[in-house]
Amino acid sequence: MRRLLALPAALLAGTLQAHSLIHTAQPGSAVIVELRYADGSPFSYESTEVYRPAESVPFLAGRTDANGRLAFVPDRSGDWRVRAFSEDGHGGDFTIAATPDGESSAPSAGLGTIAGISLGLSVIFGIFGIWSLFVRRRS
Amino acid sequence: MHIPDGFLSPQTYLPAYALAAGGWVYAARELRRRVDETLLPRLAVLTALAFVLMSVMLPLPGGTSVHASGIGILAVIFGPWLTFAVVSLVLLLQALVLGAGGVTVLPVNALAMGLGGSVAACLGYRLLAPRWERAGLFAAGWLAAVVPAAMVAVVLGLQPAIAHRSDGQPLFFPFGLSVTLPAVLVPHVILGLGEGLLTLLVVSFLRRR
Repeated sequence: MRRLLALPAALLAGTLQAHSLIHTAQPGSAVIVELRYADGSPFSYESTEVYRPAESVPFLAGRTDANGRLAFVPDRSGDWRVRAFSEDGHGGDFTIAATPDGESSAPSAGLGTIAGISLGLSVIFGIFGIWSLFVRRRS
Repeated sequence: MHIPDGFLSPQTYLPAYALAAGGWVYAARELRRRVDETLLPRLAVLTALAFVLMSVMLPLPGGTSVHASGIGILAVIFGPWLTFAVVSLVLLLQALVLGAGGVTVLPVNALAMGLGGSVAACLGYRLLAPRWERAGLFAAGWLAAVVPAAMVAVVLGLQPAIAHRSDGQPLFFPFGLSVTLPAVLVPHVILGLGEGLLTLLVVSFLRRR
């Protein structure tokens, strides 16, 4: 009789063991991505996805924190794709070269605001200036 | 309002490129037909103004920040096709030098802001201006902000239906129309008031000179 009762008890213990969640906290290297709007305010609490190199199923999905940051721990080297979306259509889709030891580098998204605006204005006035010369010569 | 690269599926931006290309050809013909020594300096200055307005974020009380576009001003003064041409140039420059918007999404942004916004602005202005000039200018600016926002919200909101994995997971922008329409449109209905005021002030100032 005891053996008969011991069998289901052992199976139940195994089931409970499988459902338990063990947590650890350990020091390590992570890639921290900071997302900001053009005026410098953080891209807070918005949806993000991180993809392993050349994979189409997200490695990580979640939201940015209050400071507009997300972090992931790469388990292989390569170009990790990061996507971020807000409901009103802001966000980005870019890659970060990362390695498991936490080394990372991201291509810069354009020039800084002042340099970019200066260059853009130069191009606009350059195009219209050269065009004016042609129109004046023709007339 | 600029849609960033990576948010739209090729099923969206490739047909948009074909549509915009036709518009660019027509706009180039219109520009060549109307170009003279007086048009070019005015067009250059207001294109530069639009580029700066679209690139500089203005902080508002409460932590948010906004930018104007100058599309209402361009539309009232030059009409929709010249506006489409120069706004496309502005958007291309913003994508290349500032990282705002993008090259794949350029036709969608250009069609929404440069053509949709300017056509709506011109219609609103022509409807009201004969009787109420100032109201017409204000409406032009407001429509130049709200109509592109509505177009952008629809294009973004259709992405989950247009491109998704077999399990239904969206491949590009993940939120549907029920989310994008209020999220994009409602702020622009209010922000459009500022664009309307800017259009009224700038066009009135230019006409006095």
